[in-house]
Amino acid sequence: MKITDILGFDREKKAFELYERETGTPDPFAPWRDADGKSEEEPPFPNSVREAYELFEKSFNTDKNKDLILRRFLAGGRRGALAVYMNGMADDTKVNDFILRPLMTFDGASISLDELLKKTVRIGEVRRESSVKNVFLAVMDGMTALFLDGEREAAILETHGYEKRGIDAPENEKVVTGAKESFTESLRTNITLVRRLIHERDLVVETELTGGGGNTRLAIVYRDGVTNEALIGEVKRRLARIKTGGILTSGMLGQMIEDDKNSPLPQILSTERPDRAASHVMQGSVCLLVEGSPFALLMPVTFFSLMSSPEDVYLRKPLGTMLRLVRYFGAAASVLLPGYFLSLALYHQGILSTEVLSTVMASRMMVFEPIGVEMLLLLFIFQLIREAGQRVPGNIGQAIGIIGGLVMGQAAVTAHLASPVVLIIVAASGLGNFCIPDYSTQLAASYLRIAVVIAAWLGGLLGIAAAVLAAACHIAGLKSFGVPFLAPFAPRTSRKRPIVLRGDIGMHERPEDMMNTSFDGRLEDGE
Amino acid sequence: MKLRQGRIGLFAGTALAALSLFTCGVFSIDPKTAYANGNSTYLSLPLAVIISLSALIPAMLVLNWKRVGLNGLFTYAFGKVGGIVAAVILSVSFVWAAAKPMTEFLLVLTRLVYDGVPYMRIVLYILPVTVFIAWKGFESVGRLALIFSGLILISVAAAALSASPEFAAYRLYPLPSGNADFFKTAFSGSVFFLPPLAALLVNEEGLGGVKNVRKTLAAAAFISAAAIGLVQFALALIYPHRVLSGLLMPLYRINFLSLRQSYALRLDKLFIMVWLLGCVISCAYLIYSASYLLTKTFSARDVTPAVLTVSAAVFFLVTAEFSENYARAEAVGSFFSRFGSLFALIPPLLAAAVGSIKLKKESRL
Amino acid sequence: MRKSIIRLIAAVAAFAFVLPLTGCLQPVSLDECGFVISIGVDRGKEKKFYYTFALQRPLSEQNVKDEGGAIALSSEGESIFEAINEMEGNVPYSLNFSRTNFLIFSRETAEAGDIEELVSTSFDALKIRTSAVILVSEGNASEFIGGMYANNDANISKLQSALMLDEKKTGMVTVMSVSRLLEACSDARFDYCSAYGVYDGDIVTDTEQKKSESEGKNPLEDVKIGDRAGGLKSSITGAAIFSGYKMTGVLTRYETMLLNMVTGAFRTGVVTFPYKDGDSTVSVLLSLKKRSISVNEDLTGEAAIMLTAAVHEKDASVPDDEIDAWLTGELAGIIADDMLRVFLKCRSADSDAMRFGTGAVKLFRSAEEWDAFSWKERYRDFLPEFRVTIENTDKYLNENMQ
Repeated sequence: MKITDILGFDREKKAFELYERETGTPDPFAPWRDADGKSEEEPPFPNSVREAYELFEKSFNTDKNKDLILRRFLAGGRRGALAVYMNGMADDTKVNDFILRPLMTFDGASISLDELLKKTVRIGEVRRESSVKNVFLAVMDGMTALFLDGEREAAILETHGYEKRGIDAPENEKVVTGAKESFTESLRTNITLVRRLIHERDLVVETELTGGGGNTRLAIVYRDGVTNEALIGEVKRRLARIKTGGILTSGMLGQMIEDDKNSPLPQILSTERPDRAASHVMQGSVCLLVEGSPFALLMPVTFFSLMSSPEDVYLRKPLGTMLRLVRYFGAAASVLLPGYFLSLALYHQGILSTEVLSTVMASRMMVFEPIGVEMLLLLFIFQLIREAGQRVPGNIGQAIGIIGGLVMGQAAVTAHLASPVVLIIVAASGLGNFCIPDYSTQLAASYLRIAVVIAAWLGGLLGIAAAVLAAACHIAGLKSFGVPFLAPFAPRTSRKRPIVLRGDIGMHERPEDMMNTSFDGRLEDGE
Repeated sequence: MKLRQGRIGLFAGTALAALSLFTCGVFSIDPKTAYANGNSTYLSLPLAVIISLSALIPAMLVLNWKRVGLNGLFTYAFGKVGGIVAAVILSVSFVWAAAKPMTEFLLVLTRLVYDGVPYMRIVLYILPVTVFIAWKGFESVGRLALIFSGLILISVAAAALSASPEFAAYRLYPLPSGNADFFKTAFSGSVFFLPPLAALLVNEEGLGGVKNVRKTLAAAAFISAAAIGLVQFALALIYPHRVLSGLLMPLYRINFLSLRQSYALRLDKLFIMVWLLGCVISCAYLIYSASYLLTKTFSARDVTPAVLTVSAAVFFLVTAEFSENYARAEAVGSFFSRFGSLFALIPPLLAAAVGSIKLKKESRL
Repeated sequence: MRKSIIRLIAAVAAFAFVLPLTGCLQPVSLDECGFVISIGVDRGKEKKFYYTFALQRPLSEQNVKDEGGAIALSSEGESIFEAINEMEGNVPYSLNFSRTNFLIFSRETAEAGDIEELVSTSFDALKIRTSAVILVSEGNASEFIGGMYANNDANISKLQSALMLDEKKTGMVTVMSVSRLLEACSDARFDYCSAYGVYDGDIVTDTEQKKSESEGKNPLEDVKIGDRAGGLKSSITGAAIFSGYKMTGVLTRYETMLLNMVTGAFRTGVVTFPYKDGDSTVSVLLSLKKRSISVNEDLTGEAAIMLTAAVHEKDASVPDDEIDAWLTGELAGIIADDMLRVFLKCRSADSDAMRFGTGAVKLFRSAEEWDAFSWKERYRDFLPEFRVTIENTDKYLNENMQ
């Protein structure tokens, strides 16, 4: 390997851009061009019920796997039929009452799949399938597959009947005024929650399977004709690229389709609130709902959307504005305050007033460790208390936060492990961190804070300047599905509503310029 | 190709060029020569910005007709070898304009802020970040300039306004007389103002064409000329010219006169770090522009090796002031102070002249 | 090995290589610092100078021991650096001068011009801000420093603001910083003047009064009629005028007030004047409304001062209907004459404390011409006219209230 190979001179990875100069739409679900195009060989469709029975027995190891129910019967008393469903996933009542009984008692002249589906099967959602792979997936998903002797297709009947959690209030995105519903693990329920809020004809929900084995069912939600088509295509293309089997959560999926996986900042917004998801979809974002995960993924996302909370629009304009200002100030203080204080204490004492100097000197009189170690130790303890409070359920978790904060803080000061001034700084910084609405961004900010503290310890304000500049450079270069992470501030876009302050509610009626939606075009057509 | 150009808009381009012009105009000038015969910098430096802008107009006109980048113009006007020579000469001026303000900041940091700390330690905090930013590319540099330009402007205004109770008109006297020295300062000041403006022409693809570059250049030049004029005027009201000629970075000390004991009036060390952000961004911008020009001229496919090479040159120039090569560095510095403007002025002007002649001949044919 | 892994290893190696080269930038934690608030400079016995440093105490230590907010350290040395070295060897902290607000010189050192040595060589190295104020003390600077701090107040920098308040309230104090001194000496457009103070050990301070109260003693029993009681032992009695770096004269508080009027630094102050025959007095609140100075090529000039006046108190024998005429006529004349007297005093001390040089420079269009003019020498022949106008603000009020 040559030095030139290490430094560069290779072809640039295909970067997706959402600018006007991009043309064409990639084929949906096309394999990635560098990927190995080979796909798994599919068994042929069984010719008879017996073959179908044997196929399922073999494929699902029914001697060990007792969940799969293979029910052979005679449709109309004359024609061989096979109903296949998964115990616990399919609703037994639906299968028995609306499939087996009507089919068995059918007394029509012609027993064909067509006739049976039209006249006897009392199920709403029905489709025909000739791909064995898709039949398998449907059965595993809680559908019932119906085979008839001699037919070249199977009927897939909607018989979902598994247990699922009811709709609760959001745990992580609480608001005082506003909706109290959150997503659940059921994809169908989540889709319903979004559809209840968006009554637009152009709302499209494409449900597909992704992952190496196609094990993860997800829904891609967007507004057809509004959402940028290149964005939709790019999302689908990245999903098609995923070869990993066994994806269970939206968090893992989000990491697999992000632009920069090594960045501490998320480039996809994860939310458990249907109103937030609906709001973003209305503005031209794409929403991914994943079976088994109570979080929706929204893309593209910017830093400012990570910093906004649903509560902002529920409050009146002056109050929403104040809330946002406090939030941004809190976030900035959370990252910079400990490092700034440390740099003043170690390098630039002249900036502090005599009163503060005198107080800090007195408070650190018997503290044995250097102020930098003290700061890092307190930040670490704060993180410990935070994590412990989250892991422990219910009221005990809240109590740990209070006990940890008060008791340990007081004990640390009494034992001269920490000084009161540094404790206050760390506590204020921690509170500022909690102002950040998005959990991933909170964590990123708390670790950036530690980097800033170390930089301040090493170099004072110069160290902080270097750290801030490096972080800002990374953030400025970050993109989320082609949209620059700091849009609409850098780059500036055509936008009426303010970025940090809460604008008028009327300003939210049009999608953002940075989303490059077709919204304006539709208005010009008179829609 | 890994040229890392990307695309920035007019706001970012204007912020970038204006920030670079401002950094050069306020922090790069040599106090001994600038204030030797009274203080006219609040007039001569803005004039220098306008002169630099005017010097680039011919090149902009030819680029508008020919629709190529600046390196393309060099090749068109001078041929392949001549184009390379012109690009290298222009890149040298970029390197100098990048190194000079950085050197001034380093001097202040080593003497006034971190006294007793070896300069190399301070350099190693600043230069790697600069190289990182330059390596990230034009888009990142432009957006950083947009992010920080407001903060830098506010900090400069805060520093100047907080010193306003100490302003006194008598310090302006003797008033500038508009003699040969005045115009000499205006012309020689263009050594610092031409590179940031010419760098926009080099990066015209990233700005979306020469038409956008024209708008950006004009806006950046006028904004920075006004800002530089105001800051120099504030300094002229605070310090008489003889005191200014002996001060290292007078803007840093602008609050030192205030007798009031207020936290807000002791933020000079914080302010200088904010201004250092502007210097780093300006330096990264010029390093990237020089690297991009050289990469395009030599038809390379990756800008990274050029960034590393140009950064090494900047690093060498910056640290030369502090090493045993100090005398040589001073000699180089005084050479560039006198003739540096020619390095930045001649290639685009000459290319514009030769290019326009060739274009006219082609259009006749 | 994959290219990305090699790049990562190379980046980490480069970082690990560079990191030890950077290292810390020599931090000193603030609890390892002693913050010097004031520096006093006296003539030394065995060495050239005797330096006194007043440090701010950490707060809780002061609360516990109740011995005051300041610690004084003193040492001799040929230079300040030698004195600092000697002191730092005996204390568990390093001296930090970033909060130094006052530089106090004894009269002896100020008249010898020793201020130049401290100011020109030490400031950048010691990180003393040039906003620090210079004071000249009649006696020892170390004594003066001791008299600047009250033992019952932990925050000694707040006590120093008494000087600023004095300037604002009475207008009889001039407060100038080191940066003004540097400007005066390098630019020669004016001369410096600083506050001039004296230490009086007989003054019974607030703390001493409290202590004697707790001992069961009448705290004021040693105080005679005419002595001041309460407040600080050190006080400002006027201004010291300079020629370059050397102190060349002293002005009283009243003379300092007149000087401030001409330089434009005066805001407001109450002065008691004798009325006509001298048996009665009138206390007048004066405020500066407008001031301008001009210098002509023939070395004449003018200082036009416009004041507003309001009578605060007058003897009963002073007629009300004559006050306005007295204020606008006689008093204006008295003040103008006194200003001329102060000017002549300054001129004889070779000090352009009234800053007429800032008017002279406006005659020139180039720095070379101004340098060739040599204002310092021409000043000795310069004689301006002082024109004072007084506006009686009471007159308007009285007329409208009738």
